Amino acid sequence: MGEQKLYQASANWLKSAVDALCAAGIEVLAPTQSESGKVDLARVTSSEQVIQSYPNTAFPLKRLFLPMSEVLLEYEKGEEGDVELGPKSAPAKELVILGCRPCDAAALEMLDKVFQWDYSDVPYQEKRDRTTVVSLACSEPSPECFCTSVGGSPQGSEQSDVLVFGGANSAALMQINTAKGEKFIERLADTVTPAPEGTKLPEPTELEQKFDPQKVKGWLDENFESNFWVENSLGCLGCGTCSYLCPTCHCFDIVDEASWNRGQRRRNWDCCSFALFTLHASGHNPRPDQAARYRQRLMHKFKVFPERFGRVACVGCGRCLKNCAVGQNLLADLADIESR
Amino acid sequence: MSANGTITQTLREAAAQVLSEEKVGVVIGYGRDDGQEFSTPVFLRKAEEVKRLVFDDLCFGNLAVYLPRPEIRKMGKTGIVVKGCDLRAVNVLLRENVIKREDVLLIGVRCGGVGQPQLPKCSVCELHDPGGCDVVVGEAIEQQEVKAEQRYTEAGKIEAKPAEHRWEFWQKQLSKCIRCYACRQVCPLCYCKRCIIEKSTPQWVQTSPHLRGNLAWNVTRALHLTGRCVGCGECERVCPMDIPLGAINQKMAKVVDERFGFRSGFSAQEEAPFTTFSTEDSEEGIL
Amino acid sequence: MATKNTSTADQALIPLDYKPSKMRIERITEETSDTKTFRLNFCDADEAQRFEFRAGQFGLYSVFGAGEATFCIASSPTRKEYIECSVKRMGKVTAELHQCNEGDIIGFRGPYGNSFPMEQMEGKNLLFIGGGIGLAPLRSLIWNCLDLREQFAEMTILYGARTEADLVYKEELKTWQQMQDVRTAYTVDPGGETPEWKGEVGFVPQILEKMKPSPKNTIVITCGPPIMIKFVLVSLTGLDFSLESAYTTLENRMKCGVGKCGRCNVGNQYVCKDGPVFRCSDLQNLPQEF
Repeated sequence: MGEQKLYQASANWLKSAVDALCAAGIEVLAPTQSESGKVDLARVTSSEQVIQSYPNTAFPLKRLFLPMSEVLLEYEKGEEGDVELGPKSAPAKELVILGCRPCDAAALEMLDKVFQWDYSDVPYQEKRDRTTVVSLACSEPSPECFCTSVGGSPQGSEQSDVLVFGGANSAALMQINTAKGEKFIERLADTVTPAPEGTKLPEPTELEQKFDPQKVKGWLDENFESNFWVENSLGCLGCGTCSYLCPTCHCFDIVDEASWNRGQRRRNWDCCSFALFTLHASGHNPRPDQAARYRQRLMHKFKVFPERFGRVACVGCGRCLKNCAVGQNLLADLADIESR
Repeated sequence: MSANGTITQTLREAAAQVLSEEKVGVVIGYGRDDGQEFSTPVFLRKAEEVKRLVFDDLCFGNLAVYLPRPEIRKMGKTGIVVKGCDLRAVNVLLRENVIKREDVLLIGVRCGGVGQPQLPKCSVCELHDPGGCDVVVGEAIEQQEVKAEQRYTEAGKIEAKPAEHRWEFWQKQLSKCIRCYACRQVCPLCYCKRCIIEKSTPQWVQTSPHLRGNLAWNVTRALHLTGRCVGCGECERVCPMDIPLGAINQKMAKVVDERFGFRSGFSAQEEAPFTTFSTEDSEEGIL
Repeated sequence: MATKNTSTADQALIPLDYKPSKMRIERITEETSDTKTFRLNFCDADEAQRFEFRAGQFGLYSVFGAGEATFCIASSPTRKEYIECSVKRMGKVTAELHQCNEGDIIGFRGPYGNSFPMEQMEGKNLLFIGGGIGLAPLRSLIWNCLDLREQFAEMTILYGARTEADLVYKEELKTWQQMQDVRTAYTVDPGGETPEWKGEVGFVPQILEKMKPSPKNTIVITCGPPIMIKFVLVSLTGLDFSLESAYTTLENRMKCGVGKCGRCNVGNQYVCKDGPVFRCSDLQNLPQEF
């Protein structure tokens, strides 16, 4: 699309959008709050369930496209030794995601690169195609945020079909980036109006750059073997929290689950921190200790990904440092690398 | 606010001494950087590093999880900072012959409780003063009497619900599990080199994070910790999905307490019910 | 090294839904006490017609209910009527595969990965060095070359296993030995021989040094256990071979086979996409993590 189109809406845009979309029978994911206080995008059927003020959602968008566990195949063995394979794919229903943050939308760019690398991953792409992403620009980044260090911005529009500016109590400005975004605006009917000629986007929110990925990569290029990996992974427990909450981590396992003569082949999340991840059936493990696995995680994000796909596999959402059980701090580790 | 704030200096001195006298190859303790929400593990090899060491209200972690690790053992004898609750885990590791007493140097801290607000486990702490350590730092803390019914309040809350509500409750909770295994990895007593979940011939537990697999995993975890769990609460603290794992562990501890009069980790010599044959054991349930 | 900023925009993507082709086991050959070769036919005639591969490529074979496992295609692309794979019983899927009978249906998806450099091999002397089950990918290539024999100069096959009983493709080893235009040397590790053994005794690199093949105009293709490869490369260097004209295959644990599941990379090289065939000189520049 050539020039960006701007629309304006009332402060209450999120709730009215939910109601308009639900009324049109479209699946809607919007920010809600759980009993334990976590804010997350959940399927909603009414605007009453929706909250409007939050720093970011507890979980990134990844699981909507690469679910934690999904059925790739169903099989049933017949009496005569034949095998029936399924399921027949059902037509995908339209889905609108409302209120994710720009970093999480930008992460879809990295996932797209992997899942469309020579082979287009059908289960992923089907979900991607049916989904419209409406992001909410950040006016108050959290202390753990560092999107500006990895090429993003609190107002970045990458992979957002629509980017909405405006707090909970002020009028909203909607920047339409794609045809899917246009369609979304049409659905909102008269709750939105084209912004007057000359309307400017708000001044970008400042967020200090905390490290330089180029410098980090420069060190990584030379230091596959370094005591850094051993020292900085001593505390790492080897759980999957950082990866599973990461918007760009996409590693998966494929397993069969059988029940008598029928069963499923499933794709489940997996994680390079786990000892089993690379263990050969022979017992050989190319990444035999936590130091090697920690190195893989950093190298993959800040060296391998840039080399293969032209950018780092990190959007600076800060979930890994916020949720690490032992306070392992990716940002501190990268700053440490940069200072070397 | 507890008296924990004043311990840091004495703790540093104690750590510096054992390091400079080369009594240990490493001291595992807590450190704190600006902006961190809790005090995190540090691994000190030299006496001059002890300034990184702190002890405060935010020292939640149970550092005993690091004791069985090969990369730590490689460093030589391990000095470790333990609160009373952590000592219970060390005692189980000793009891189960995972570590040898002569390979660890226990630096006990008299702890008045951690957390802001204080963690529930601290209000029923029975080991403010860790006994049997090589070094103990901190002022003596008056030990409140803890009544049996106070110990299992979390489990009690769930027990009070009717059976079908409990089933509904746990289905809902365990559906959330993403199988990150943070609960297992943070547990000092989940030291198996290869967890049963990682064994595929045969596949004992389904690895998929659907309710069936999650139930199997969480029940397996609970059973493997029955009579062993010391209630440090780390699994629940680190669960990114807020599953009340402590209540499961507490329930199992309660059953073991009621049936066998046994509470895990109060001594390294104790005879644990599941590894001790006794003709006195109740046989109900075995038909 | 084949590092590229992959741009997918300008090339057609191949849709991948992870559904395997159904294949019927036509024949099972017991190679050793723990290795079997499965000859497979596509159940669907159209799929059989469409299927093409190159020597060195691999696939994911699945036993429904047990899961998928990665093996090279051990038959030659010139033999279009079937594909074969040789499987050592190691873990869950391989154990289940060994339980299968002729006539059973299994799953297959592929072919994936790169292949041996057939174009560069044309007109050259070919030296194949295999160890144990590592002969499987070489076998595909050897038959491929034998079927196009006039395109290549001398062909030499050096193959070894721990014991006589561990030698795979025993009938084919005899066939190759009897061919006039193929030089063969078979060896077993010291202690692995029976009194009837007429071949060499010694580790593969030792026999290689004894054979003293000329590096001139020669391409080496070697597959086998990592420890064998390591010493074969040392021996080759000692014999003045350039590792730029030596190729091997890597194997790593894989789930997807197409660069998405994220576990088979060695540095920035994905074994499933950039491999499994690697030039030995390139391997030396990779992080030693395989």
